[in-house]
Amino acid sequence: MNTNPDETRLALWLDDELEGAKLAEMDAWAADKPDQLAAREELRSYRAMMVENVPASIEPPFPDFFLSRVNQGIRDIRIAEEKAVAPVAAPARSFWRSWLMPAAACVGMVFAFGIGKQSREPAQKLTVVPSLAPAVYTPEEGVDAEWFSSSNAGATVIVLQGVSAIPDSTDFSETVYVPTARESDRTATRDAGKSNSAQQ
Amino acid sequence: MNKPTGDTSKPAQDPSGAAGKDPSAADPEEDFRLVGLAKAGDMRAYDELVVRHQGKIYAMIRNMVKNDADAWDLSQEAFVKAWQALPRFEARARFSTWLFRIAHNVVYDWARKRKIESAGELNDEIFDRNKIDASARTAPAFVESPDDALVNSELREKIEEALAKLTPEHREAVILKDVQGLSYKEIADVMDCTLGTVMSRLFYARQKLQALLKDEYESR
Amino acid sequence: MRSPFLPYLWLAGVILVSLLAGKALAQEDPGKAKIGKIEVTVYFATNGDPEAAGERAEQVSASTRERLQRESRLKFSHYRALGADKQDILRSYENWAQPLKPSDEILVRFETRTQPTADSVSLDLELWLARKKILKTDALLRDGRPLFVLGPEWRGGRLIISVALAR
Repeated sequence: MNTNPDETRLALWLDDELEGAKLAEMDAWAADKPDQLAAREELRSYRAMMVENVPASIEPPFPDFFLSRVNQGIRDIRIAEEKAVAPVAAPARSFWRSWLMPAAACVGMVFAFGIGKQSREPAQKLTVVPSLAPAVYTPEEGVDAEWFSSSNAGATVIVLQGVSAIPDSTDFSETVYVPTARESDRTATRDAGKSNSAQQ
Repeated sequence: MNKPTGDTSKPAQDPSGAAGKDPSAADPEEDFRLVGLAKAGDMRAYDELVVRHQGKIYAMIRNMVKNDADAWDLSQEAFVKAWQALPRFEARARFSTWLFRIAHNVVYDWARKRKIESAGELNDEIFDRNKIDASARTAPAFVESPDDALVNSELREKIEEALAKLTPEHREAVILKDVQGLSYKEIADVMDCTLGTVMSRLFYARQKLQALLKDEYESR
Repeated sequence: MRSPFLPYLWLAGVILVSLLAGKALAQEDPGKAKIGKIEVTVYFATNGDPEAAGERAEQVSASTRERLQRESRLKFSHYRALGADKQDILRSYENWAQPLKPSDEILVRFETRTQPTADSVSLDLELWLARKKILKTDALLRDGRPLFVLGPEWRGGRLIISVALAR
């Protein structure tokens, strides 16, 4: 290379971003230019220092919670989009449409009723917005969680499977359970007191 | 409540222990495959993309905003916006570069908003990520995470101080080039500017940084 | 004769009170406002010997027993209450419940996701067992509608963790 490289080519060479013939060309050009070689070495040292000391990747705090928040953000958008769907505007009605469509609708209803009676498929349900189901996440390997809404118990239930048992030797005898009765425990209808009865 | 004491600044490490490596760089094709699935509605695929790239995005944003709490929130926002924009992603560039572009926009929108808000009084405490009530009765003691702190944390502090002296545009150019390893063209795409502007910003930013840190890397 | 300085003293007093009030307001953290309460209760459920739960375990109320038994996945012959903890839900801060205090074997971390309504609040909940995060969920708690988590085995039974809105 007889002429000096342009700024872009020089910058790319200094940054070790050239390859192949272009790199070879620039290396040849710089062979007798110690200042350029020194500049490239200095930049290499600087870049190495940056790479070693400034992490390119940092795990965000509470990474599994981070993900669940991202998922929640996406769910919120989906809910907002569903709510924002406007009803389709009724088309301008022509004279023919004004009587033809109701008639067609009646025919259609009779037809659909007939099919519906014969069909074994359940009636179409209202679409359940899946985004309203709670997010359930189990970070520990081997642990699964299944959630369901229990109308019998009037509660949301999550069943954990695969969670390690608490050793039998673990003792909670220092724990003092103080039932807080009606004001707080919605599941209680009377104070839970120690009973002498052998029942339960 | 004891605050979590794990070092949130742990760099991603490959098996050799080298810090700062990009875990997804080895397989951009896998990103494209996951993007395809995510576009079709596979949320697990999108979760996988988040997990693959959250470290890079969080690191980049944290280096820009210098506040863990805001970086945490803004990183999530970036991934939510990325999900929204997924239909428009075309596999012409790396997915990570496209994500950096979104993160760039999120940070700049946030900075603009803060500029407006800071004209009045803004209670920064409420944005503190360590949102743990000191008066909470129950305070589980977190097990201290193993000490993976960088050996040369003093040097890192000096670098961060030097980076803080740059303008946001210069800082971002340096972070994208010298930390994240993007090419000039990719940086131009992320920062939505010309190649010439990228080069100019990098030139001045590095000049300033090298002047501030010359003693550090020359003594290595 | 009234002191000529009296108006100035009054003014100084007003200014001083205003400054103090302003300082107090500035120190108030709206994020720490209490917007509700939850109660976390741990039940021992077993088809075996309920006395395995220990002397201090309390019998549960009939309504609790009936409620749990109505759900097949939570149905056991016997229940005992091991412990409970009631904690405030804070506007912008997380909080923790430790129902088996002093043991930290079971902990529940919670943080509000939305402003509560008159009878419900949406929470980010984490269940920690043996200092490990086992479960994370975003629960919508409603008045009278708790969350039950069928948890780990212990002494021939299982622990059921109940999270409910409290007053």
